[in-house]
Amino acid sequence: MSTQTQETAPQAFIGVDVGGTHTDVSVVFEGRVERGKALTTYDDFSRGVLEAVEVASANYGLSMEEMLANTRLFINGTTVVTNAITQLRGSRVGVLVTSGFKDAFRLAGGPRTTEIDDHLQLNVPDLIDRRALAEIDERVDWSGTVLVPLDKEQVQAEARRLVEEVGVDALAVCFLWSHANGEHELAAEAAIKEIYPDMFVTPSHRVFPVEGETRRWTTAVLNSFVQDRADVYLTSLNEKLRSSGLEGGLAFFQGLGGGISLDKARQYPLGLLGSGPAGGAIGANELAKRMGKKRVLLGDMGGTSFDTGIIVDNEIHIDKNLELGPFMTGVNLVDVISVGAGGGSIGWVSERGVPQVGPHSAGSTPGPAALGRGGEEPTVTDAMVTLGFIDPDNYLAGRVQLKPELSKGALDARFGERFGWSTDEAAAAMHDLVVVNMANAVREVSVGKGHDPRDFLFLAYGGTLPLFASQIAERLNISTIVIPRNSSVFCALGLLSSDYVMRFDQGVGWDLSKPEGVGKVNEAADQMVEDAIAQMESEGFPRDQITVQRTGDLRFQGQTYELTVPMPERPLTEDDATALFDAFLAQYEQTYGKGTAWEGVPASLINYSVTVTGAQERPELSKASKNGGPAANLVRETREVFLPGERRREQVPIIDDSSFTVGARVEGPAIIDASDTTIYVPPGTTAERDEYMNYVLTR
Amino acid sequence: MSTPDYDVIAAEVHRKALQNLTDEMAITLVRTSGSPIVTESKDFSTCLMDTTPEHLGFSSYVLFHVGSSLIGTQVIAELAAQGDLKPGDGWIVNDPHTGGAMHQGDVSIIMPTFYDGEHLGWSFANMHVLDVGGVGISGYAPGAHDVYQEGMRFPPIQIIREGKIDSQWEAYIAANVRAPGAVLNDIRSMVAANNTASKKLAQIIDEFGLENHRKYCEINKDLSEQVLRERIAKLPDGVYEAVDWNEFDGHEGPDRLLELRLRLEVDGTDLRFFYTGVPQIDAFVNSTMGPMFGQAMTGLMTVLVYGDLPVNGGLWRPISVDIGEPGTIVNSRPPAPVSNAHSEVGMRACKLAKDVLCQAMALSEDPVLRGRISGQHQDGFPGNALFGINQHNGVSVVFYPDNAIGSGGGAQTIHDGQDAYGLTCTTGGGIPDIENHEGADPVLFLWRKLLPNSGGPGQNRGGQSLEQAYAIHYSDGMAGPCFNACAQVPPHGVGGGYPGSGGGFYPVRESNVGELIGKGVLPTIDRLDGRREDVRSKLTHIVLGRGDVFVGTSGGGAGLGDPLLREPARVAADIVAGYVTPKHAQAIYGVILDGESLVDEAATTAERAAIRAWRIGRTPTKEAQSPPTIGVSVARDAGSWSCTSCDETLDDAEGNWRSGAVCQERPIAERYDELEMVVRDRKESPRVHVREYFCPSCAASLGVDVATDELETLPSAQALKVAVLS
Repeated sequence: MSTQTQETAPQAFIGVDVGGTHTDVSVVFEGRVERGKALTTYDDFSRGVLEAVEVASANYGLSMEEMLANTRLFINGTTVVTNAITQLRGSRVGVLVTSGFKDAFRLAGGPRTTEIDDHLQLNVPDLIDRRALAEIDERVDWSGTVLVPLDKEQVQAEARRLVEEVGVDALAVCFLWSHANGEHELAAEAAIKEIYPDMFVTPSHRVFPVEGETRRWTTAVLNSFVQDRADVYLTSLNEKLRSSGLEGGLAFFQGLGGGISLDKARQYPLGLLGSGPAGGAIGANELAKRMGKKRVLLGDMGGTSFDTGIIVDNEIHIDKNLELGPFMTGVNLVDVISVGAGGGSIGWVSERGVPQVGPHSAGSTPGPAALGRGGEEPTVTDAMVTLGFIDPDNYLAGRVQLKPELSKGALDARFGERFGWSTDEAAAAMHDLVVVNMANAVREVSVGKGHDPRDFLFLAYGGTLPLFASQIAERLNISTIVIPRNSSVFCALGLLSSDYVMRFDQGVGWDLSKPEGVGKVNEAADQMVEDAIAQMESEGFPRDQITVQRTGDLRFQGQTYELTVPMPERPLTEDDATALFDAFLAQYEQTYGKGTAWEGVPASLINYSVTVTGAQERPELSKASKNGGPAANLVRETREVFLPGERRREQVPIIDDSSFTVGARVEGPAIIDASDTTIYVPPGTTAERDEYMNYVLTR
Repeated sequence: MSTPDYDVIAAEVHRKALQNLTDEMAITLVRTSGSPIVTESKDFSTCLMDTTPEHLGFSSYVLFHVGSSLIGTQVIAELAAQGDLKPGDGWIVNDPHTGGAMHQGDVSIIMPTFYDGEHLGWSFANMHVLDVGGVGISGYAPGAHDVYQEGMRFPPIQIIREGKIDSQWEAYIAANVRAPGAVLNDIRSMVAANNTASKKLAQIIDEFGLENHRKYCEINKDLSEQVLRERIAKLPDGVYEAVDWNEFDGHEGPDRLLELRLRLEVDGTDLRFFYTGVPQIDAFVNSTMGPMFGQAMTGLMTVLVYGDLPVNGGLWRPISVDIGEPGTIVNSRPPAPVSNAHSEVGMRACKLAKDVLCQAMALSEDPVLRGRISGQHQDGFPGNALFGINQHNGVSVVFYPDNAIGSGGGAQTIHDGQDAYGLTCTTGGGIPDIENHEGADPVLFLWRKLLPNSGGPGQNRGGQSLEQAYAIHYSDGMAGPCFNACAQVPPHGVGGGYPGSGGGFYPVRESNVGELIGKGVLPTIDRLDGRREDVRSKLTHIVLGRGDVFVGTSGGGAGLGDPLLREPARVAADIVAGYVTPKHAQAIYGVILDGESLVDEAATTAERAAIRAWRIGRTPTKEAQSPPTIGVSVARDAGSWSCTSCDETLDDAEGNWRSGAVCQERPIAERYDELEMVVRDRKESPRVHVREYFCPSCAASLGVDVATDELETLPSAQALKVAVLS
């Protein structure tokens, strides 16, 4: 225990990641990290959150109430918004839309996928009852000029119809060109509030004031769609935490990669989308900065899927216009892609007679065959049990006893006779295939964005990935792999490294060949920066802790995709038109290759964006001291393992995590048995521990 | 089952590596081009072939390029056989007559691949370039009378040496196109994509070894071939025929319907396609082997390539495509113009291929194959290309692919057809937003909506299509060509499902848009007034002045199964959603509502009985059941054709089930009037008829043919040997 005396100010930082199966908690207190885990409670998510906090608190010898009373900041990431959309369960939304264009929601920018199979070409699901689409006579044109004025009477009559007859409980207002002139949408909102003061209304330009009605309108509808469930969650969690003694700050983590206050989250619940994977990426970047590394490929493997993303020059790639299944949105989200490769992924034989792994998963019921819960299909976990990587007596810290004979039976039944394989060979085949699937996903986020994976380190976290991380790195010729400490709750821990962040986008449409039009850009930019700072100050940040970052989206006239370039931190002048155009050209050729810029075509500044960050206090983590001992002392035992790369059984040393101190070094083959994960160090790979107790593998 | 004698995992990993290679070629193309045709419309393809040449990997955005890549490379391989092939050599091809190209706008660059100095095969990149010169823009020349008017034509020509385009050829191309910088850049980006292929291929062979590389290529082609053959084996041997008509009412007339036919022979695990057509004409609709093969495979792939079946050369081995003697619309020769070969005769060829396959699949004993029949996709679109000064004092070039993407998809057995499915060959295409168009072009959109009743009626309904209208509002005038491939002969349904609506366009001259806006009133579809002008479907040059409105309507997908078998609640939901009108619902589905959304059960039962009585001219003697497989309306077994809704025998197995059915034949335009559906009426002979065939006992809809009034009864499936002898 720490001998440090407790100060009066609250000291603890708590990060909570509410996931699909588990609710993970990381607490940083007294210079160390403790974990807590509980099952996610779908009837009331806050119960699982409090249970997990209780588990973590117990590790400090405190009750949950004592810990909360001692908490300076509580940050929460949640899947509640993601779930509402993927399950299509949300508010009954009514929409007021410019007459003639209500089918934009069904068209959704073009529903056909790139799959050849016609059975996979589905209609876009209706988030909105078709009767809840009310067309309104009004029109603004490309320049923001009102062509046809809004009729307040019509708005109120339609709103009444939607509420009284169709029974909607939230509204979205979606008018053409509202990003160029929002007065009609605001007037409609005001007219609705006159008759329904408590109605939740999302005018499209407020959530995404950018050209392109499909994304802007879909974003508005989704915001209204998720608000009901988000509100229940936010309210319940806030009340429970406060009544349990939390007096410090409470922040909600957004998929954009930063926190936001309760009130802001209530206004823009859609911002909470995708916060889990984003937490991992923020944590990964923080860790990379601490290690002095700029380029990171990150990976997280769970029971059903593998998530991966890229960090270049300590900038996390933000996916600007998130495509959420068939829905095109304007949501800005940390760019993490997901493929169906996890511990529960099932091995099967395809129609061509070729073994495959995933994307189907055995989930938690029945789960891997080895669990003995009736699962008969071989999963990746079964393969790793069979190969000897997972100790059946020590699974989930010994809480679950595995039955390796069931794994073997499932593998033999599916692959043995058909391919003439031993059980080990079948298991190794599944191992190889899941590694290839994950390596291909990492290749997609790196090569697909023009980067060579060999220039990156691979940061692997989650409970399962450390068994595969080296093999994935080998396929991509990556030489360094980092497995962070507390790998299994890394996402929750990442939340604690986050700042408050808000982003504002505004369509401005400045033709750079007409520099005299710069005035309207400055007008918009000044307003945005002023609003952004004011909003961040209202969150309690003093001005000197607030930073503002400005970017612009540019494109050649005639294109519909933009590139983002940094904008100067000052009002623009007419002279900037040339400089901006040159910066755009440079960015264009860097992105698309030398000589690709369109000769003689003018460019426009389409959107101006302001990202405002409120620097948040971070918990201090103490460093471990260098205290290496000879590797022989680290070996707890040896176990016979079938090495997939070498295709042979061998006695492999099992390394005890708790005695693996900083400066110690282990040569592969070895297995490091940590309390929340297992790490495989293949032959030819060296494992060391850095001063933050991360494992660094070099090959 | 014998165990494989090779490393199955390594072979699969190798296959994925080759797939990554063609994907990375595509990434290179997108990154180095920057053309919106590539980055947004996804009008490009990349692939890798061996020396045979056979495909080793194919990145699909535009499916029919399996044809241009294969035939183009075959021609080049023959040319190169006489010379000394070196790394960095490269050929350009865009000629449908000599190089397998789809149309002149789609330009291919084909280069050899090497490893350690040994020639290993070919890589291919294709994209729709911005322009190829000639009277048409972007490669479309509805007004051309011969191929020489259509712009630059490249038979396979080696313009690339040591990875660079010959400077003299650069100068030639630059002098012949409207956007020389962009077009040359497009060509360079295709060279870059091919370079990526060479580089990545070397890395893959370094990893797997040359011998294994060759072995795994063969194994993976064999595996795809084997799966496709297993699927073909489940189709009953026999001869299946279909007929369609290409429309051409351009030039100075006459309004022509050009017949083309397809006979498919299913023989064991082989498929033989025989296309025939009327003599070639002096307009851009004619086709050649590239578009015919590519479009036949496109139709085949969307029904037979599903699940675990990677696209590679193994897929083409069981298949032969014969297009008969030269001189016809399906096998034209110079000077026949061909600049819309892929989208005119080509798209009809795609529908014919799917038609004959669906006939065979419907008779299969395999439930999976029976479950994959579908109504026809629209496959045709009203396109217009306009040029003029925009509101920013720049030149606006309008070519909206929206109407192509806005075409409806055919009904499937497992769901209604997809709304705005697009063309069969264009996977993954998107529709730009209204605001993207209005921001750049001098137009004001009045509406963009799904057209009610556009999806062909059926137990599962065809996908709906898009109608959109814009006014020229910020310019004194715009002008350019217009063309539409599918207005008079819409795509037909399957298993008693009905055809979809046709596409079309028309200008509304001197509209009241400006006047309404002046008064602060929104110009909606109900308020729009002006002089509606009926125009031909192929216009060389339409001029739209300020205030003129252009209305473009895409056609819908066709239906599947008898519409009277659609659950009334689903029809009611369609009425509530505005997808069908009450009159249409009553006339074809027999569904009547009680109030706004509830089905009037009694009235609906009575209406459906009345429709059945009308169908066969008497009260049915049996009750029509939903067929065991949705959309399979007739069965052929125990020596006879029978109705699957009541087991009534229709004819001998050697005969035509149509001969035992009751037929109601009428001009399609008349029938569509009753159903509030869109089709363009022909004033000239032959007229287009719809022939509805019903079971004489239960009055189930067995099949709905679309044919000219001159055509004999369409044939039904025949045994293989009977047809071969005749």
